[in-house]
Amino acid sequence: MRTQRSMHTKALLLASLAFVASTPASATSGEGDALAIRAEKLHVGDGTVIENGIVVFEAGVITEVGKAAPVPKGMVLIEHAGHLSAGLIALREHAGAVGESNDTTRAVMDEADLAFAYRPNHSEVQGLLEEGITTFVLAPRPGSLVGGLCAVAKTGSEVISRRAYLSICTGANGLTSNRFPTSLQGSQAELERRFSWPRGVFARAVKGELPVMLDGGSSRTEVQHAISFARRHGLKGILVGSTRLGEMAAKIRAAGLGVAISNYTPSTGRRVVEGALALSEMQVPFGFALGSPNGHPANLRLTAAACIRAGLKPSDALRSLTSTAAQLAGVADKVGSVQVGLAADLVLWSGEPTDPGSRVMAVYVDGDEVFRAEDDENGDDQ
Amino acid sequence: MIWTPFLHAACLTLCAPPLQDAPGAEPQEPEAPKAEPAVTPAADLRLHAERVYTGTGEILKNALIEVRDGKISSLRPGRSAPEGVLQVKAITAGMIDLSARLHSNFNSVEQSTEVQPHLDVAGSVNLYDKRFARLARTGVTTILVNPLDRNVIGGRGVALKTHGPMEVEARRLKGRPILRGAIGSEPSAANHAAFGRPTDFYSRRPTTRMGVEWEWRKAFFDAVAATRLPEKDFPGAEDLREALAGKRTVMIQAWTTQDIRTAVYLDEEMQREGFGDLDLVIDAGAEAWKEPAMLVRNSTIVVLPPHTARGRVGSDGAFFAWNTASHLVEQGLTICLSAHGAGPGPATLGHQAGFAMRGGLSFDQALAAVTSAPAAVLGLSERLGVIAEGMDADLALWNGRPFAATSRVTGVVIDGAIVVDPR
Amino acid sequence: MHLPETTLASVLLVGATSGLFASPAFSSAATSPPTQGDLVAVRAHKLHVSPGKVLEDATLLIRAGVIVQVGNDLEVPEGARLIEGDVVCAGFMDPWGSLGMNAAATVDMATNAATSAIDGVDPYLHPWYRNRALAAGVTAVRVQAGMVSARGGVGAMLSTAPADDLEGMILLKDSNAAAGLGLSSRGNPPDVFARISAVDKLVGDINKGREYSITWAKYAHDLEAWNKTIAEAEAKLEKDFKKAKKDRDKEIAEAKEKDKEFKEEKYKEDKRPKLPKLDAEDAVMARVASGEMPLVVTIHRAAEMRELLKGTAKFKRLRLVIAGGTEAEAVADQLVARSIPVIVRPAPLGANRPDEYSGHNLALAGRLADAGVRVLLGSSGGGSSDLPLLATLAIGHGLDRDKALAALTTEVARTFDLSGELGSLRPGRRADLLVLDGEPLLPTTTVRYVLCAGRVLISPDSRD
Repeated sequence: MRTQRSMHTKALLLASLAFVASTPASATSGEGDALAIRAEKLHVGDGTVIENGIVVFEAGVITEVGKAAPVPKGMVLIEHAGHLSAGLIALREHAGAVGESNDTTRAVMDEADLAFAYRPNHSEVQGLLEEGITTFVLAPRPGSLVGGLCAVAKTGSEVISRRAYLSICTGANGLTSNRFPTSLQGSQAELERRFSWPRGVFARAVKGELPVMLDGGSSRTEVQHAISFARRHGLKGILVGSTRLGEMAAKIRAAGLGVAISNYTPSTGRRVVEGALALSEMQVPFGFALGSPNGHPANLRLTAAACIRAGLKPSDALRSLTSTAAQLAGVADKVGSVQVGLAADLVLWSGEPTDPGSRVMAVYVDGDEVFRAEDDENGDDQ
Repeated sequence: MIWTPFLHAACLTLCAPPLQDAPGAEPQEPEAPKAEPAVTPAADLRLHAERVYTGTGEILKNALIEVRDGKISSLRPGRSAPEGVLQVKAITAGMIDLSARLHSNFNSVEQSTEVQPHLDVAGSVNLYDKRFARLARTGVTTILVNPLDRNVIGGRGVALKTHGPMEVEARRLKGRPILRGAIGSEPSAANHAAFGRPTDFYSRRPTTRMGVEWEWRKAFFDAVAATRLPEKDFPGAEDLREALAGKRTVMIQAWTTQDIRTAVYLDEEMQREGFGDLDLVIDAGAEAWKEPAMLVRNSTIVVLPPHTARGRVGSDGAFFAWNTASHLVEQGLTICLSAHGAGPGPATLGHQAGFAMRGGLSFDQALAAVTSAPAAVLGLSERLGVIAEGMDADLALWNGRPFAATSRVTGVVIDGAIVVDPR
Repeated sequence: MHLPETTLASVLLVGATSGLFASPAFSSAATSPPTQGDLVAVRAHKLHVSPGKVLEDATLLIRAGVIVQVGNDLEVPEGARLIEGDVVCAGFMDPWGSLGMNAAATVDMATNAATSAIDGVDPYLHPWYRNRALAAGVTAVRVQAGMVSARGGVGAMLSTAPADDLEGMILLKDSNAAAGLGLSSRGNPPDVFARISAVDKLVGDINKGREYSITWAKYAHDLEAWNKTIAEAEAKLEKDFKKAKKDRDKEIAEAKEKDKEFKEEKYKEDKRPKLPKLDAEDAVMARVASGEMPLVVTIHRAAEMRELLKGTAKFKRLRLVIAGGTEAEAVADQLVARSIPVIVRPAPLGANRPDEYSGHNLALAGRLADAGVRVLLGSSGGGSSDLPLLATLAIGHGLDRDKALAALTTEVARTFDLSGELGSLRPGRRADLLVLDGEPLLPTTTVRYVLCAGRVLISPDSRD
């Protein structure tokens, strides 16, 4: 990506309004560029949109946001004829950890740390960037009762939280036929045992210090079990893995849980979409799950778009893709909005971020430009 | 008595002035008394039938049944049908199937060890399973759900109505606890001897009938031993001791005569050793007719499997004749009938009763075998199995004489709610 | 096996194929009865006559299911039903679908070139899915028996509108012939070399079709010549009839007298040209070779595509359509030169994608279009109702918005010879159109009305 650096800089020179001597090319890699970007529409992440908003960032952190944010002398201001939003967040993803993200030899892997499975240079991670996804929750793949501790990773960069969730499968997804447990009641008995006399991570989960990612399984009964399990032990966190969560919106709200919406597919699509609308109506906080490698990263925005098509407000969908997801993953103080003090994880779009017809023109992570569309009109001499 | 809500309601309506505001009054459900006027309130549901087969040997002609709060509040014969009342040809109590087998298959049995007396199948029951509704439509209002018979001791069963709240704990019937297990070839079917290094737990479980029997005996001996050696205690030992003390019914699947014999001998061995006396029920006891004397001696109840045209049933090909039911009843045994599932196919529990009648069972005996006898096994005789005032309003409505080949269940009432409307 | 084209053959080819094998190309207008005399006026702020051609504040008049007038200052006639909306465009067409086809027929592996898709169409199938497709704006779907077979047979274009019978569904009963190459068409060998030979086999089949049509053309020619000779002989005989009969009677009498057999005089003209052997598969391939209907080839890998393009270069009239085309970028210049459209499946496939999609990239449609290739978007049978949503993905990965709209409307109609009937909102076209509350292919846009042949099938009140 760094090879595009110089070309991009030239583009900046052509497009910039306030250009002074020091070029961003001099900024050292890793610390991030000192840059200002003005976008026709700047989506802050809390639902507000600033027309012709400016975001200024330095050393990877946003320093100014606003319509008339002061641009320091000597800083390049990029004019973006399009939209700008915070980088998108996928709430359940396995990119860069294929085959390494779950260990099926034991049912309970309570101390397994997914951060150790993360490979930032994996091609799948690059694929996420191209879709504007800058942060994701690296979760174990289903198959264990307790899969381990989910990490929150920056795309192509470092892990920013090693204890986002304790991953638990309360339903049939945690069962295998040749090791304990093979049955739902066996799985429930084991989880009850672990959470009734909690130690280690379980104790922290019960105290509410460590959120859980509950994969309830697909059937309504399994989801019911997951919700009542969470209520019984006072667990906080999110439900994942079922297309039927929307049908339980009231119960999920009563339990104070959030939801990671499963991917839209032609076969499960209607349930996913109707579920998202039901959750939205009940004001249950939700984000979107992804699930590479079997799910294409484009599914994240496609699922949101399918929900919008069915009636979800685009601003709510964008919140779910950014700030709400950051809150659910416990990293809202670092990413998820275009706000002063947060990481400069930004996406420049050709149009509305929630329209899959909008293109990702450029992606910044920690202030570094990590992706730019190949045939971006701003880029010359390609 | 489980029908206390009804009593509360009745008391409060009869003894009029509401007491709930008085200091020290027992807190009651506050909704119950208020709305009702002093006169007898209108029933929630009224049904009229040309014949009501109460299950107590009586046939009430032109009877009017009134239902309030899910219970039968009055039962009066010799009435003409009032205007607008649901009218049918015949009514029996809702049928009860002790071996409906609506478990969620392999998810319902914890196979990591072969003896799991402490696990409750309730955790794996899927009430959204369409088979519940399908079964309800055939007039079966209560069932016992047990784990799939892949373990020696599979665990606790759960008795449920086939219609009601969509959570198992809310629907669970608190009667007599059931401990479910199996004797025969099924608990050892998936297992194999350990060649070289065992790769999973299927290489250490019983692989023969002998092994299955041995696991049963060992489980009981270990449970008893643990009373003296607390360090030998294990999960489920208490459940086994309760079974020995007769506090829970032990329901064992045993198709063939040799397996039935093993079950009875196990019980008698426990008695000889002074460990206790099992309250034994044989499920799928197809060949019980071969040696009924030992069952009579042990007062064992037998649940019969569904009738087949060829007379061969189960994985061991047990021989099951259509006159088995009547033969066993003649010997003085208590029997229940079962249909093993909710179709598809015509062999519902009502049909099983009809088949057994063709094999010689009387109508009253057949009715008992699908209503009051299984209710007694579940310890729910005070709520279920017969039609009488105060009983649960679980009713099967028929378009002709029950169990006759030309009749079928056209309507179903469960807990006073019309689940299938015959109109 | 390829014969040099003779002048005679190529001249006769056209006449022969159209005369002997052709069925009416457009069965639609005649067979699907529109609502009689119904007059509908649609008024919109923006009317996409065709992608790129937009009329502001325009009105469109429909009579008897057909668009009769489109313009800015049209009077709404008395008694016409008026539908108003923000944006109007033609109904979307899925050129690679399965809606309305029996599922077993769709995946049948035993199909051959002569299998007819409409034999597997069931008008009573999937009413719910068809309604969903309609509600999403998809008004036509091209279906195919044996979608994953090596030879898919004759495809058909169907309407998604509810129909009482088969005829009511059919927009075009022979939209194309079809073949599949490579692994995703399971009838083909998995071995790489054998896969190339499968391409050669297809080329051979097309060649056989051409020879077949030459044979028939020759037969038609000979027959005509023979008929002429016979007619001449007959005329001559008629002229000298009395004499000839007298002579013949005499000869018969003589023969009887001598107890000999009478020998009828033989004429050269009795040797009627022999009817060539009929072959249904070759007949379909003959129509393909003559360009009478396009050949849709499901193909993904560049190596096989190159072989196919090389092998078929000699068939000047052949109209190839590529379906899938995962690696089509590599042969883009040839596709442009030969005007071969590609039906792209713009679905987000993850790493676990079907083998031939291993190079799948959502940018394919945009890149091909940028290279000048004609692009169509198709669902690949996975659900036509999601096609408009998936099309937005193609836009988001570089496909121009107008080209995306064309890929679902005009290009489909053009590729399958339905331009005069469907795909645009010009007078004379069947009134399959959408009334939207925003620009087409945006997630925020709702389809408010869907009209098929002028009938309002979806309206704001019809939604649940």
